[in-house]
Amino acid sequence: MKTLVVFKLLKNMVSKPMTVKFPSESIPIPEKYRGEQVWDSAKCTSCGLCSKICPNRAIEMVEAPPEYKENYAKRYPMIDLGKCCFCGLCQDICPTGSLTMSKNFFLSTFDPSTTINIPFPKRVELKAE
Amino acid sequence: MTRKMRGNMFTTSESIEPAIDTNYDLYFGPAHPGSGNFGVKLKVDGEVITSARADPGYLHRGFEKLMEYRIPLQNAVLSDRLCVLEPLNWNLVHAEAVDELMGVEPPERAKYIRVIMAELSRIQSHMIWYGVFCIGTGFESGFKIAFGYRDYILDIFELITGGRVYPAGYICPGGVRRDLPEGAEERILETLKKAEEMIRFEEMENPTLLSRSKGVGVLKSEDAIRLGATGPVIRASGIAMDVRRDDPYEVYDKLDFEVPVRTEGDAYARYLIGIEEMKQSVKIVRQAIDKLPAGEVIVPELRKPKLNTKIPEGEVYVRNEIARGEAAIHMVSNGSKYPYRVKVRGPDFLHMIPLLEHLLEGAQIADVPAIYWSLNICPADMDR
Repeated sequence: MKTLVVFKLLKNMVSKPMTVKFPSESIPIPEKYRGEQVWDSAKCTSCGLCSKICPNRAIEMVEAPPEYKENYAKRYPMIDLGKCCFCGLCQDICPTGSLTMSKNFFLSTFDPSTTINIPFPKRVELKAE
Repeated sequence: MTRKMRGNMFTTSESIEPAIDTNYDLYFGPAHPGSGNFGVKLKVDGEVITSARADPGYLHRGFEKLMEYRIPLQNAVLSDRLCVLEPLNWNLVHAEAVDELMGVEPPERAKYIRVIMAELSRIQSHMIWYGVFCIGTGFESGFKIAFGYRDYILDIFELITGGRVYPAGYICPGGVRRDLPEGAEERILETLKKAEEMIRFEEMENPTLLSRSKGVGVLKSEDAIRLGATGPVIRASGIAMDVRRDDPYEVYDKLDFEVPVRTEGDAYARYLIGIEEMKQSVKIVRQAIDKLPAGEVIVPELRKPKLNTKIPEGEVYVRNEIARGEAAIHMVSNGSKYPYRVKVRGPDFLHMIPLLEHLLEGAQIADVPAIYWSLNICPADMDR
């Protein structure tokens, strides 16, 4: 048994490490990874099923501000990533495929307000600040 | 020796007695690196523990109540969180309970996928067991190597379920949420080779582990039955009890595997049982992949998530063998879309409170982590 240990030690000296050098190389992310949601406004029918199935109530159906009423007439899902558990039920229940989950998992942030994904374009005055 | 000499020098009997009171209280946990959200209040006389009292409740999240306000599909997602170290096994218990209440028979392919995932989850859970047992006995390389090999299995979970640790209700009522992706079987077989590499590493003679665990925390078989031990703990005490064999669920009756038993009942025997179980799990996964049939993975009526599926009135008690022991769910439904009552029976409640208190009595302080981690425990599962 002890010779096995010595053999293993010598083998470890020449073997590759288990980890990868992250920024330059990374483990490939599979196709069906459950990352940040991507919402397609063109496909959304405002049925609200995603907000009803969400186990953490992270999705809220919100109305657009007056200046966007022309393009966004109904209520649309606003996703709070701080509450989201990335289960993917919203993606499964969406009848038109408007909500899908992407491969993006780089979601850590220092600013809590950025965790909320608002379905409308950001306001002009907010950008100016 | 010195005491005797002193006794000869000073003729009075008082000077033989130690001047300081050696009885004191020691609190092991809840922020101790080797305890994990769980505390044990120890009464100590010198180095020997005279009595131990478990102090649970640091990780209570109220699952049984939360499940009364959610539909089965949301509960499947919630059941991941019952135990961080083996979410897929808990998914399976929950899904089976709902299946039985709804009278749904999952397709054959789904059953095989369920078994494959549950056994892979058992292997990675046993790797964590070995890792934390090593860190408890002062062998940190073992911890790092075990967690390194566990990541290969997490890669498989990421490929199949979409998440590394939490599968998010992958094993859901009616089957599994999605089919195995292209080339998953080959990836699993490759990963099993890595798992076997890890088993070979665990089997190597390790003087640290041997001297710290041999003869420590001996649990006799009659005590094991009296205190409600299940799983690897009772099998290390000489009782061959395994739900997979005694009360087969899914396709375990079609698969060939053995139930490892040892009679010593000490921490070292429990560690050896862990290794044997990993070997058996590798064998089960290989057989299941060989026999994997083609076809559907979920019953057609549950393929698309529905919000208003009613659970028929009834009451079920479903038990499974998870990595830590026997897990069960007692679910009562009154015909609405939410379950009326869900009672979760986790293996660790009995392992961590009565059994740990029993084993710690009379042990040395230095043996506390070795005994504690040899029981394959999870505070998350105990507090629920």
